[in-house]
Amino acid sequence: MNPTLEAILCNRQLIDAGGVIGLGLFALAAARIARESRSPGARLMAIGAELLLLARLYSLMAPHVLSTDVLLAIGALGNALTIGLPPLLLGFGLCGVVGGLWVHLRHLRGLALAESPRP
Amino acid sequence: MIRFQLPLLLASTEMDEMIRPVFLLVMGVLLVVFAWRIAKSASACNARLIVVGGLMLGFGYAVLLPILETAEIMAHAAPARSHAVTAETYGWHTVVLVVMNGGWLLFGIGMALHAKIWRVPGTRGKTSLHHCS
Repeated sequence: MNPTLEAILCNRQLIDAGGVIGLGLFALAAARIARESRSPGARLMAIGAELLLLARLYSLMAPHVLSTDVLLAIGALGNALTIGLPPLLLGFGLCGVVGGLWVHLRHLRGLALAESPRP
Repeated sequence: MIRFQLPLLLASTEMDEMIRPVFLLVMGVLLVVFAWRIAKSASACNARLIVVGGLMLGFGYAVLLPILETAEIMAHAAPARSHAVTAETYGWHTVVLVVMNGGWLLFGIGMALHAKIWRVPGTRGKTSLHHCS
């Protein structure tokens, strides 16, 4: 195998950790913006980023945690949730981040329009 | 019993398999546009981080993930070929891994620097968020 590919595949935990850290920083930044500029979009962005973070952590953890015993113990509803919930969380999280960015930009533009003097 | 299967039905119907790539594509393109517009109000270094991260995320969400999901759907449709783990599969997964995680890392660091989450409170007054256009 190509040594670069092999190096990347051997360090995939590190790269995944980088992605999770970036997502957490994004959630922190959105929460800070929401607190300081009172923008509803930033709040939505923070919620979306946290949903994405939850789904990402779950998908990283699932192969190590979900064994056959666990799947038997959590029953039919739990089984359905393990299959159905992560795509839903990823979808809603992405939707929240993008919609939050949009609402936040509209909020900023509204602020700029309100502050600029009308001729 | 149908009540318990509701999330399963929501996540894995055929309609969802058709909608999901389109949804990812639209979201990726919108993410690039909004990252570009947010970066216009950031300082040069942060703007560069946000734009590069947003472009990587947009490429990942709009191009790589729909292709990968469609390929997986096709592989499910043709089960004879689904067990062949080739170098091509490894390459796809490596590229997706690096692009998505790197994109979130750069975008997150750029947004964190832009929002000044490491600023000590009360030292320099307001952040730049209050007067960016």
